[in-house]
Amino acid sequence: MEKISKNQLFCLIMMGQIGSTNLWALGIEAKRDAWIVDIISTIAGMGLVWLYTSIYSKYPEKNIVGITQSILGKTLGWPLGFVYFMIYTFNATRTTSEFADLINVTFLQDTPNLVIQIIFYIAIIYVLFLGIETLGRIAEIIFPVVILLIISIYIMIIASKQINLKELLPVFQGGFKPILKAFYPIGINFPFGLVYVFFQFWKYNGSVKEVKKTTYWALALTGVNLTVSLIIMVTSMGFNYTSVATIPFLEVIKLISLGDIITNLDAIGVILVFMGGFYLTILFYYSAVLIFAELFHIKDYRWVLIPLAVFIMWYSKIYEPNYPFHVKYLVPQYWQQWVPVSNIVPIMLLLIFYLKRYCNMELNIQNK
Amino acid sequence: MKFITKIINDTIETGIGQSIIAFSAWGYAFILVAVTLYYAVLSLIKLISGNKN
Repeated sequence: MEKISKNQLFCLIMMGQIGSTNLWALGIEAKRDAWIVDIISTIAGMGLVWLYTSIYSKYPEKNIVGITQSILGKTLGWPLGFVYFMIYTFNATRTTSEFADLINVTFLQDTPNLVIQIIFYIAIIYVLFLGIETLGRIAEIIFPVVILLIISIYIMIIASKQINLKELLPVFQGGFKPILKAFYPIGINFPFGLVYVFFQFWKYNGSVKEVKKTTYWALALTGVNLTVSLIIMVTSMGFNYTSVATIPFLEVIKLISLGDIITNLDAIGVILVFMGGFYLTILFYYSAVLIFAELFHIKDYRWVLIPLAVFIMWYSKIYEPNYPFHVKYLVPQYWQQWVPVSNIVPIMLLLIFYLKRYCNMELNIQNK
Repeated sequence: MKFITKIINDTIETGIGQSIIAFSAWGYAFILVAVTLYYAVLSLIKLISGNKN
C-alpha cells in the first residue's frame, strides 16, 4: 500500500485548509467580532478533530467506507458510504465551479469557464494517476511556498501602514447572539468539519499517534492563520468592505504599496486562488473516487477518474449557474449536508461503536 | 417547525441533485440516531441483568 509521511499529511491538511479559509473572511456575519468567532471555532474544531480521530483510531487501516461497514455492518454501512460519495462529488462540483468562476471573474475574463475547468482537471487527473504519494510530495513542495507568500503578504500590508486596529472596536457590539450564529454551523464546520474528508487519507499514514498529532497541529495552525488573516482584512479594509468583497484576501493584496515600488502584487493572489482551489477540489474529488472504487469493488481507482471528472464538469454547469448562486446557498448547504454528515453521523458512529463493544458484538476492531 | 420548513424549502429550491443529497444525509442521520437508541436499550438491559446476577 502507498504511504505518506506525517509531514506530507500535515502539508495536505494545511493546503486543504488554506484553500477553504485564507481567501475568505470567515465569521464576518458577526461583523467586527468575527475574529472571536474564529477563535471559538478553532477551540470547538479541536473537539471535532478528537471525535474524528477517535473513530479512526479504532480502524487505522480503513477509510470511511470500511469503518462504517465495520461498525454498522454491510447492510447499513454500504448506503452510508454511497451518501459520502454523493456528498464529496457534490462538493468537488461546487469547488470546481467556484474556483473556475473566481479565476474567470478576476483574472482570465475572456477565457471560457469550461477551458479553465478542463485545464484544472488535466492537472488533477495527472497527479491522481500517479497516486497519493505524489500528491503528498507535491503538497510538501508547494506548502512552504504558499505559507511564505501568505506571511510576506501579512508583513507587507503591515509595512504599507494600512492597518488600523481601531476597526476591531467596539468588541461584542451586538452581544453573543451574532457570534453564536456565525459560529454554528459555518464557523466550526468550515474549515474544521472539512477534516472529515481525511478519513480517506489517514490510513495511508497508518500511525494513529502521528495522525492525531499532525491533525491537531495542522488545525491549530489553521486557526491561528484564519484569525490573523481575518484581523488583517478587517483592520485594513474595514468590516463593511470585507463583508461584501468577492475575495477579501485579494483586495488586501491590492492595498500593498511599499514606497510605490512594491505594488500590484495581484499575481500572488492568482497563485493562492489557484493553489487553494486545486487542493480543495482534489481532496473532495479524490475521496469521491476512492469511495466509489471501494463500494463497487473496482480494483484500480484510476478507472473512475476520467468519468467522474466529466460528470463533475457537466454537473457544475447544471447546478451552479454563477458565483452569486454559490454564495447564496453556502449557509443552507451547511444545514443540508455538513450538520448531519460531519456532526451527527460521527457522534452516532462513535456511540454505536462503544455500545456494541459493551454488548460484546462483532466490530472487526483493528486497534483496541 | 418554521425553521424545518425553511430548510426543506431551501433544499428543494437548490435542485433535484442537492435535494437527494440533503434528504439522504438527514435520513441517514435519523437512522443512526434510531440505531444508537436501539443499542443503548440493549446495553441498558445488559447492565440491569448483569447487576441482578
